[in-house]
Amino acid sequence: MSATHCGCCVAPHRVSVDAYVVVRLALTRIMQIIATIWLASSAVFLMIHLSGDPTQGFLPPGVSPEIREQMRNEMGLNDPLWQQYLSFIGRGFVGDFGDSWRDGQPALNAVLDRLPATLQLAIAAILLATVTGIAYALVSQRRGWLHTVLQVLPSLGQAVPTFWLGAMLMMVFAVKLGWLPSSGNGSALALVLPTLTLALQPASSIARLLSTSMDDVVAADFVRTARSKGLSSGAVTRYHIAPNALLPTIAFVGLQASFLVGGAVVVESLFAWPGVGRLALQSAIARDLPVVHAFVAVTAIGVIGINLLVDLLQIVVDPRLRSLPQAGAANV
Amino acid sequence: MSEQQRRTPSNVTGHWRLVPLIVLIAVLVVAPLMMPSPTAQSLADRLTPPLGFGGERLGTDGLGRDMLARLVVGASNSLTVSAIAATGAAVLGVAGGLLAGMAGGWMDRLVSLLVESVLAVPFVTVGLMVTATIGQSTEAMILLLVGTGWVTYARVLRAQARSLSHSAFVEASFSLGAGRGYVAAHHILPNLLPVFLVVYFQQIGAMLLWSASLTWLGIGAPISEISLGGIVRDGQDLLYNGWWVSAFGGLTIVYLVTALNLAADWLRLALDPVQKGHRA
Repeated sequence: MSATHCGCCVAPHRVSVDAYVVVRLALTRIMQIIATIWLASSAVFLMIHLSGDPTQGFLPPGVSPEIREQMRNEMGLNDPLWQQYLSFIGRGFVGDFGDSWRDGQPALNAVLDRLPATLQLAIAAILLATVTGIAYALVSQRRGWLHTVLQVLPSLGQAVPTFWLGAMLMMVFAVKLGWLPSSGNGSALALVLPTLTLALQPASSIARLLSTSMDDVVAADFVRTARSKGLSSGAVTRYHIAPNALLPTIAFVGLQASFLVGGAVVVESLFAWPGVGRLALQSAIARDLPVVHAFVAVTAIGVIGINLLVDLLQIVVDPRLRSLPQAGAANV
Repeated sequence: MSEQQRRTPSNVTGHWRLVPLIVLIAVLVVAPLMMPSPTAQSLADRLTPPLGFGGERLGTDGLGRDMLARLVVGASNSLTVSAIAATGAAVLGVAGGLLAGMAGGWMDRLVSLLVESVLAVPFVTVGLMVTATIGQSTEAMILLLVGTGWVTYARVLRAQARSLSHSAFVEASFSLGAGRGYVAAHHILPNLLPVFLVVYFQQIGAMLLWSASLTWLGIGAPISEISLGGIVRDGQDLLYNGWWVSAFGGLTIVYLVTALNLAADWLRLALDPVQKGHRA
């Protein structure tokens, strides 16, 4: 952080936001959604056509050539390729990903039906990760040998593969001890192991990032000023160090959204949690491309949406972001 | 941590951070000379527990294959795949980051948009798409890791190149009549090297975690290839009567990734003069 001013000292109680800043943020994110869906749809289009005749994906192998030809006509597979591409991309933007090749229901519905279970898991995990990460960083500020030990642990946590942690927790608490269920989402207890598994990586990252940024902020000029004007060390931590150290962490939580989706695929597959991640894995293995396409588009919009929320939250928390940087002082 | 503590040079040297990586390399070089074949099956010896639990060495897996041998070969294979992927991603990412950071303007915006878009699509979902189309293979997994991993380099190097191209010594060089290419080769690149090396080591570890996840999910390296993710997956059905298969597979991953991260920390401390106690 190159800040010479403390964020909390600028206009502490009035939130006046430059409207242009918000509009620009929103426009950037919308551009990003468009680019992402276009890229993802292009990739799926390429894959559908790379994998040979798409009708093989859902027509049984023994079907007569006439029926296959009729199906190809219906799906527009005999149109020129550029026409197919444009209509495919266009349909992707309005949420029409076609019907699942496995069960014939609209692919988007298949994904949206499973979304609540995933959200439940992801929200539980990110809450747990944020709370433990922050608590950990605060505790690890204590000096002495404990500080060194506490600093090493999060790096170790980041090196633990999610799938393995889940398997080990399952082995100990479900298989050997029988305390917790190993699969499904029938009860509140069933949420415990998947949440713990999904939370370790982000919790370690948050703890590590926050410790580092607290170390940085502690050395900043405004903290020395606050100390020298006689504030107690508790007040300095509460009003000056913690709010400023939290800023990079807020940005980081947005970045974690994308990793959480990847983690959800792993955790849901391991614990048979009926969410979108498990659906996506099953669909990919069954080569059900419409559902995979819908999954990629929905998660991309979700991730970018969360990032937009985080952008706005940062503006609320950090007054320095509320107006555009002056020319010449650009320090982005 | 107090400022005084941070400024103590002895706190910074920390060469112990290299020890885990050196031990690892030594094991990977020496162990193959004195261990049984990692693919030799012996059903009579299946699920022999490890030393200390009534068995020998690190035990055997469900087909009676020697766990120690499989872990060593799996570790080399996984490390090789990760190093190749991290290198490929580095080439793409450095090019993208330099282009964006030095050229600025619409090129910067284009690269940044691409980076953000790739970040918004979790790599596992891209892996799912690749597998849905062309099936699982190590080559496809490496391509996938390169295609998603380059953004990390691009982000970091873009920021660095940007601040470097606004720095006084670069301006001085320009005003002395140096061309863009000269400045890039003589001033920007050498100054990016420390950051690049740190990210590179971290990324080998990250690639190892990612490739292991993909392989565990059944969308990465094929089963025929010995890999750490595959070993954990093999042990998945043996959690009750053969815990050591999954447990040792995962512990090996934790060790490798930690060793690489510690080496990256060591590099950062060794290469960054600011951290050596000259902090303003």
